[in-house]
Amino acid sequence: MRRRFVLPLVATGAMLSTLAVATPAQAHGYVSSPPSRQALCAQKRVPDCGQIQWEPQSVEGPKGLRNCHANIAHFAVLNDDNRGWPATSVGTTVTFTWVNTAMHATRDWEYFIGNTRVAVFSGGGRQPGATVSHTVNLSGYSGRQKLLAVWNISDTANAFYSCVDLQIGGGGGNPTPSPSPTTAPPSPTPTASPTTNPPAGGTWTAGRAYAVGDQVTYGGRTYRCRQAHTAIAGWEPPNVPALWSLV
Amino acid sequence: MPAVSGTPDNAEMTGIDLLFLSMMAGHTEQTLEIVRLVRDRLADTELRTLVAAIEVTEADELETARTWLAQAGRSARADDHAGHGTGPDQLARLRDASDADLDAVLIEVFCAHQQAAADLARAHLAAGNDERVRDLAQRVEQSRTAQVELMAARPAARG
Repeated sequence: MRRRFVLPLVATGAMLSTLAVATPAQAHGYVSSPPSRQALCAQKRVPDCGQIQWEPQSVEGPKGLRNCHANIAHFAVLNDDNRGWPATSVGTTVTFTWVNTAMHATRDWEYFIGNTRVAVFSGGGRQPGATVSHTVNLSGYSGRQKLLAVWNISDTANAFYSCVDLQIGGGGGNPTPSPSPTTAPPSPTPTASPTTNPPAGGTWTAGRAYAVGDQVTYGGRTYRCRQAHTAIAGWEPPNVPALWSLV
Repeated sequence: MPAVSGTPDNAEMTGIDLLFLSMMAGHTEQTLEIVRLVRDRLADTELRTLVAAIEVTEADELETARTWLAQAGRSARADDHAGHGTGPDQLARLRDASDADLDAVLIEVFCAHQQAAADLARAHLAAGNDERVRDLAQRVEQSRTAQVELMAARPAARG
């Protein structure tokens, strides 16, 4: 008799957990480089964009649209050509990088200038990686152009849209839109093969295996190893207090 | 203890910075889940050492990301990283792997997982604003790339 009640409960639990997994997956992707209009909003290079600055990945609408905002009213700013969108200077070959916050199975990616489809890349119905890059040949175009990039999902009726303003020609190659150079501490080039002999001291060296208690110098300071590991770039002693303590 | 102070900078983080932090927080939570599934069962002691170091360094990074998100008034929302990276099927493979296969399965699953973090960080370096977040992205890009190389060099690495 009890079993009759157990089964429905189990089934309900399974349904709830399926929903819990499925419903939050509302997101998405956008072209981060060269910066799309929503990326420029999220970078605050174009001010007063509204909600899109917090969710540049969310410009989702039915497949087949040819505008920048997927007909979403509160993203209409993206479709306004009079917002002073800065155009990125590029050569005739441009690499576009999508950042995907959810990796939907993909039909294809399409790129349009005006009504002309200038490139298409099949997704094969598979899930893409966390980022996807496509190199598109834009020879035949010059000057300022508004390019529409479209990510067509294979298992829904929807697509994601990103408009990218370009200044084609007159400048070489891809843009480097980084607002400022990185100032991370200089790190030695990691050696390919780690050694297994802990040094008796000396300068911190990527590729070396360190044991608890080993001491090294880095940036003029001395550190003691707290946890055994092989040193790698990005794990410089001042950056990883879990591995090194300042002596 | 994270390698950062808890003092907010004058410069506000932008949407693109916070989106990256939110995605990294979700990704790192998955890293810790993967590590905790395998750490006591790995056969290769060097792999075990690497995984243990990844666990402690990423736990600090996660705290840093959460601190910055909280200072910006946003929490790491689940919907920002839903569907990301390593799905339940991959976690099940780790859980179900025999002791003889575990090292190889971990290397396969974890290399893909860490590569995704390196890719996201590289994209952020081309687009991000805040200097602290860019510095974090640089360290993520470097460390995950090196970890993938170290794992691929282990005897259990396939192909």
